[in-house]
Amino acid sequence: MPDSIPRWREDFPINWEDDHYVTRRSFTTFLTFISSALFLGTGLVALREWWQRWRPAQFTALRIAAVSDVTIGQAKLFFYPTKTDPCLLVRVTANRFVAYSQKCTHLLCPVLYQKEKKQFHCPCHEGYFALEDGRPLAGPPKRPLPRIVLQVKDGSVWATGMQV
Amino acid sequence: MNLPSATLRQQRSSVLGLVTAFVVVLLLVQLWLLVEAIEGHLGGAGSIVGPAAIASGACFVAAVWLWRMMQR
Repeated sequence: MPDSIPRWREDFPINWEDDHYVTRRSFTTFLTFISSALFLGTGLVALREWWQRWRPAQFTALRIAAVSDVTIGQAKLFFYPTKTDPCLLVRVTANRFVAYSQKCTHLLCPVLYQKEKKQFHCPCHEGYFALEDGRPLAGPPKRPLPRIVLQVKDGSVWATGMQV
Repeated sequence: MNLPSATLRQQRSSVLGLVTAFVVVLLLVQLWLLVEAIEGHLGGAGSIVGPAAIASGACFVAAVWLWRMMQR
């Protein structure tokens, strides 16, 4: 009489399908772990927010350029507050300068200044930002470009802080 | 009135399915809260972060309560 159980089944007694079967209880346990991770993430964001409010970032002043080096309508690239933070300085009028972070608030692509249209353009996903206040005009960005606080003194333009 | 065991099993199975679906909805709400909290934090509107964290905690507590109910 032949054996009902093949020899290989004796050597490997685990039933693959039964072993991979996921019950609703175990699936809900997994979902609860995901819930805890999402709660932890939101809590970390809240902690970061409160930390930044309790200990605001300190910015050092940085000389960007001489006023005479930047013509009206020209954009100049500089790095502030660190060397990994590219920014754009634009001379709007003879007496008015604006500067913003060059990182698009959508997915951090570098934005380009369009002199004719007086706006910033992100070529990655066709985002546009206003020159006056950096607010998003079109495209996927929802947050304005972080503004660099400027000060003009002694014929030079200085970066003294950053506003989100 | 004593229900047949098959009917009881079917009722319990429906309840388990509903509980699982509700936990999924809670997860989607928590995901939305996390996205809004990050957007608010990065965009300077930090006042939304605290309430979002509290709401996410409430969803987590509800998910844990439902999970414990399923384990019984």
